[in-house]
Amino acid sequence: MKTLRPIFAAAGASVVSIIVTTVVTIWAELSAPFKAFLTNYTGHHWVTKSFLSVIVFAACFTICWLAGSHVAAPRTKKALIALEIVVLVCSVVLLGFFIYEFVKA
Amino acid sequence: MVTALPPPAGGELPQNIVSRLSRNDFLNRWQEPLGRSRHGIGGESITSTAKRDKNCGAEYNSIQSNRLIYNTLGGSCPESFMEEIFNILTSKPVLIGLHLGFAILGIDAFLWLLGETVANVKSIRRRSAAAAIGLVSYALTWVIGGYYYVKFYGPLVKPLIKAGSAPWAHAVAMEAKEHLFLFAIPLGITLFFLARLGPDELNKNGLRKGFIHLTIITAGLGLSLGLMGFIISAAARWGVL
Repeated sequence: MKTLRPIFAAAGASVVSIIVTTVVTIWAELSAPFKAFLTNYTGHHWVTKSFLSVIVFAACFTICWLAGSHVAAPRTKKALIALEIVVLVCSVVLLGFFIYEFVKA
Repeated sequence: MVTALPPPAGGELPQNIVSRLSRNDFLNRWQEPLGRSRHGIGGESITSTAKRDKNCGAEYNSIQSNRLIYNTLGGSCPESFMEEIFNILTSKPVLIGLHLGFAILGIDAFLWLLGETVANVKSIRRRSAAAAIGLVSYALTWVIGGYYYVKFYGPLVKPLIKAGSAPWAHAVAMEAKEHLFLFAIPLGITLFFLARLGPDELNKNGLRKGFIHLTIITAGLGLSLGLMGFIISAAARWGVL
């Protein structure tokens, strides 16, 4: 359905963007060379992650848009549920990771 | 315009400033020639300072407020009105105010969207407006907060918090906040597209519940980021005590 296509694309792109942001953040905290690699691009690792999240979102939105030309309601509903789960899990993982890192140090 | 103020006589430093800065730090800042930094942190422009500077006398003395002394010493006179506006907008308290203001506006807009959806309101235009305001506000607070974070927080605030009585405020709250912020824009975009569906379409496609849950998560994320911001600000104040 035409109106569901951007919703499906945005939800799918959000899922991938949030997972990539979480993985890259934890990886950068655990690996100093990777954090330095991120810093080299823009001068600050957070700015690079911000650009990365935007680029990943835009790329995945385009891919999901092209793939979802005949997307049906159940698939869109699943994408929304996946987004809800991913955002909650990744929030808890990130917060838990930084608490663990602080307690460990 | 580059001038240097004479150093104050020893023992005449205002006590409330001495209590915040070490004597050497204060003297170094006092003796710096005007022209180093572009803007005053207190939001007071250098142009207005310079204009009053010309009048000298009592007015000149009156501008030797604490804030001016250790925030705008070392500033240069902006050359145009636009530069002065830019200086004001990129000063620390204004950036924090804009960051907080747009965050509150965004949270309010998403709560408004939640109310419209829960009430099953027919108006797509109103829902779209709420989602658009929320999305634009979250984007603005992200950009403004990011600029403040990179330009001021790292060099000025972070060392204070880490040396203070609540270093966890940076290690946990700030680290989590800066990265959780990156979740907000994708969520806002998804809500914007969902808001364009009418109540009948939402019910028919079984998306209404998901829409409501996602709106609660997005507004809740904004509120939790606000709570972390409060913890960080409070820790910065504890850090200087």
